[in-house]
Amino acid sequence: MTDTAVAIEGLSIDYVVGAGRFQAVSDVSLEVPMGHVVGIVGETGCGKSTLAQAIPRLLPEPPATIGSGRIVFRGIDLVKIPLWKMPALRGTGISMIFQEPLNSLNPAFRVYDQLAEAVQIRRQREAGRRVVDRREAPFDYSRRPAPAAGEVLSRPVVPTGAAAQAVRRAAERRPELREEVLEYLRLVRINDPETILDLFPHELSGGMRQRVMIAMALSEKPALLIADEPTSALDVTIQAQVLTLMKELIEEIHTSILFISHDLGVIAETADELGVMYAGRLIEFGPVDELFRSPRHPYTKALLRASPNSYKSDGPLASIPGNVPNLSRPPPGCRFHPRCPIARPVCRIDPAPPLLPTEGGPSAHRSACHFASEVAALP
Amino acid sequence: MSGPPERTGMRRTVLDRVRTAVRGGRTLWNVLRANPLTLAGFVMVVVIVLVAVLISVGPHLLTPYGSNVPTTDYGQGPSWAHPFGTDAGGLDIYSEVLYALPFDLAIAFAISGVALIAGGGLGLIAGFWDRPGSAGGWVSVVILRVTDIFLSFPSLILALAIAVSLGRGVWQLIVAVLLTWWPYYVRLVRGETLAVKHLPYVTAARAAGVTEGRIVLRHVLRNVLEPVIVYFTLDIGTVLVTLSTIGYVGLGVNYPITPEWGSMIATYQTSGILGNPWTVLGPGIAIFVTVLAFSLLGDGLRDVLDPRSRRVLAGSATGPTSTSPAERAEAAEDGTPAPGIAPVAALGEGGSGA
Amino acid sequence: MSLSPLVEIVDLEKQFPLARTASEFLHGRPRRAIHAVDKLSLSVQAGETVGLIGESGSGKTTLGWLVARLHEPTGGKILFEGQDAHALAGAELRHWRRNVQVVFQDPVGSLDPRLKVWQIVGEPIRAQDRTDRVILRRERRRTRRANARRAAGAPPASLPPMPPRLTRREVRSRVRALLPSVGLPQDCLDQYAHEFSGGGRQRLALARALSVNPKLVILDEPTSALDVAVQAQILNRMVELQRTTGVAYLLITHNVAAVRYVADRVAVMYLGQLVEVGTVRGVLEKPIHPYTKALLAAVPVADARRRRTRFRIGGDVPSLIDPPPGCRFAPRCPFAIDRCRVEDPHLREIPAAPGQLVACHLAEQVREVVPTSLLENAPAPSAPAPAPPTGSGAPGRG
Repeated sequence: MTDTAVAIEGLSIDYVVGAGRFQAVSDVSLEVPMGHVVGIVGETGCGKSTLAQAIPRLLPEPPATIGSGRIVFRGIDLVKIPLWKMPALRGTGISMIFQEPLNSLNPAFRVYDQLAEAVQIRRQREAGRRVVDRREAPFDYSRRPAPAAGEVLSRPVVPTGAAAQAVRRAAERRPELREEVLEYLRLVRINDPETILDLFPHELSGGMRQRVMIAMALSEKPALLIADEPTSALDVTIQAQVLTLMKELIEEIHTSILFISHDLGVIAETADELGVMYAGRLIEFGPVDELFRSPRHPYTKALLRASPNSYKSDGPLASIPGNVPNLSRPPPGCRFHPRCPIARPVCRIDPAPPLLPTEGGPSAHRSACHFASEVAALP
Repeated sequence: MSGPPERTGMRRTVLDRVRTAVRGGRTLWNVLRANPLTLAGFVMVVVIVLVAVLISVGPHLLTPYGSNVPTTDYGQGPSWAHPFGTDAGGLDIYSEVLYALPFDLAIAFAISGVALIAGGGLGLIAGFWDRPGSAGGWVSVVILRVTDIFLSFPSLILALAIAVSLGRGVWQLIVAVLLTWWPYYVRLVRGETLAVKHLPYVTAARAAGVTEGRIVLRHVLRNVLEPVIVYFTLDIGTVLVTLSTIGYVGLGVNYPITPEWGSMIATYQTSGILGNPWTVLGPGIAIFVTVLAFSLLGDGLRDVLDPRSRRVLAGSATGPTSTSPAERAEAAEDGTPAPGIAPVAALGEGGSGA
Repeated sequence: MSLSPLVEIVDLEKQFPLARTASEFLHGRPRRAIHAVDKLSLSVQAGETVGLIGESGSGKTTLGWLVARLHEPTGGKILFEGQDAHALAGAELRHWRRNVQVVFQDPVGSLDPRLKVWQIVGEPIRAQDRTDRVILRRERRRTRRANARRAAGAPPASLPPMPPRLTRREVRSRVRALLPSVGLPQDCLDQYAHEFSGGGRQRLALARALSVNPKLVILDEPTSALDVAVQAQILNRMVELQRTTGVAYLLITHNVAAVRYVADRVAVMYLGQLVEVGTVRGVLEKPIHPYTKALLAAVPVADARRRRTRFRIGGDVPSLIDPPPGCRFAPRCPFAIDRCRVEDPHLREIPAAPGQLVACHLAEQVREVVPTSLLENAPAPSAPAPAPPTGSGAPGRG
């Protein structure tokens, strides 16, 4: 467990709307190992954004309730701790960037103010001023980045060894706030960052805004960065730049990333492992190369076939027949069975097929299909 | 081939109208059922309107006393014969309050209504034909600046000032409040028009060959009307209070010749404290209840009018097993996602932006 | 034998003037303007599909609206079937609009939320019917007047007949007949737009556009708000409809794969100008212009082998306000020379690639460069990254 940034076990999230109640996320279990990028892909309404926002407990809790399951972050179950303890964990523990940076940056504040706020929070926590559990001993920077259970939770992640010494000295020295902000802007490859410090978010282009968002998120050195469709609102060339940037930063900063997207191409370029969600369930999970090369769930296969990259000029484009089920009355058993080309009577019976390693495949590659081995033969 | 054109036109049959009304009624009932406060407001408004009608056509049903007809019981407290007591002159306060109801209500509706039509019309023009540099642009500018001038005065003070200069009387009262009220509607409608006129469906209508006038009436007006109606309903209460305030300071109508709540309070304010407090409390409570009723209704009206929220709120009406034709439409075709997940979309499901 | 094109765009220009700030006004500086479309020429043949690719800020949406006469050009002209569409006004213009229809990007905003399906899809039908009647009435009036003035003994000209008004039932039945061709069932006439998903709404928009049998449909990012599976369906529908009705499409999008599937020819736009035009096969498989190469290289591919590659074209898309002279892509172009920053390149054909037009001074030299060379593999993770910022910790596994 010390190897994972966050482990989600059997998480279910319900929404109560008016008289109805439905499950946006059903029994999802996955792990984000330290230093890895885990992608979650799925169509609209599959629950991936709900899942992403649930991890730092950012969902509005009255309509949404976490029905069951655990979210284990640094040894603590985030579902159990009271909400007022969460802010200490956010930012330096779990950080999040969103799809539309114009909405996530405060339009009334300049770039400098927003970044400076993030940096100051991190510094305060490094110096031990905002902790979740005061009984713990102060953080020893020479220890490994993965904290053991019971560790003071709000400490940011810092690499070990000589770098850690440098960080410690820096924290003691308290460098000029402005300098540090500029460094982070340079980190996200903004040339001449001095020019944008005094600008407001609406004066920046979309790509710049997203970089500022990334800089803000990274300046707190989170253990886990959740990116919810961070490049969907960007142009293709700018998206390519931002993805390149993120990949390089992963190596430089050692943050783990949970990357949510609907674009398989973007996921292919960024993620190490990939989970596919459908109608609130995680139906396949495994290493990215494995999944793309030989998907083991009919939905994944259909999704890959319908992707723009696989467009062939002969005949009509492949698509998926039927429609995404209404989550207030989901189909019994496997939720994909009404649209599945290899559905059998057993697929209609509850419980839904569990997410298990498939026979003949690597154990890291799990699929929630009774007939996973037949998927390879599908067109 | 030639000959007089058939006059079938786009008339709806009576059956169509009945069907639409029944459907609308059922939806209204569902929304009201879901929202107890709105239901309360709705019921209160219905009762108030009924009472107003009754008092006008058959006052003897509600009270044995005529308007401004003194009885022989002077200065009495509340009793079975006089629920609010009587004043020093023998007038039954309860009856006077009732007689004032249709008066106040009608005037409030008239003022708000005319302000809505006049101000709203101007706002529509100012908002839609707003292209800078064109003739429409100049008209907009003129309308807006005149509106600004009126808005720069506090409405109550302005109404009072006009009422003073015009003197007492019903028409003077209406004119005074009306002149201060229309600018708010200009602002409201203009803002909504500006928001709507750039939406793609307006452009699509233009691309289809619809004339500008028709675009305004069909697309812009109908979509602008909804917040305006909500505002109108809430506004009734505000107008009522303004009327009463003008009456309270001694302007407006001449009570007890014409019954009006504000004037009643003005007339009885000193004597009421010493003698029968219900002379003041009666009309006061009447104002409070009426304003409350319209406020509650206005709040809930928003949900009734919007076809989108109607669907979500009245979702129980369709039941768990039935599927709308739209949902079946999706199922029949090779796979468009079902629409029933609107609440999730509203609650932050990013998806691909759909 | 060359067919005369359905639409011919000649040196089209569209500028949006900006309001002057106070200081500009006081210093007497000329008004700045957004040059959304700059001396653009393009043609669309009847029944073909032209894909217009570009990123945001390229002016492609503005171009589409100019062709649909939803904007007026500030320069150049657009010929539709050989005639200048700009000359029309009033009822004639509204009548002309049946030739060109638009499907918009936003599936939510493009359908009036207060109208039912049959009203939304039937709106162009009703509008065109009304326009026809206005024109007919004018005709009849003119004929009547001519009859009154006619020479004695000359027979009176017959009045053109007024057809009966279009009834609600007729509109509904026409809409009902139209719905299956976009994949919707015929009993949803009385539904509201919000009861449909994004894909369903785009189908409605498509049905609305096709209801008056236009010769050209302009689709502005029709699939960008939709899920992948739904995109495929909409594109299938579009192709099918073109096969049965012979309509021409102008597909404006940044989705290169959609263009590859649907279009016959493709035009690439950058900052208000066309940089490359040609057949889909030519431009997308052998792009010549550096921007086209960059665009194709930047598209993320769901192919595991492409991972961990770095995209070399930096910089942001500059603004359209008073662009400087010279090639507009020069600031970001890896091959730019001095000439590129001074002299505007024009669309020309190079002998090595006939039928393909490129606006680049170095077209011959860069022709052979493959898009994937604009990517490079990132350095191995163990290599030190340049100058770590203070306080963030150096990379490396310590």
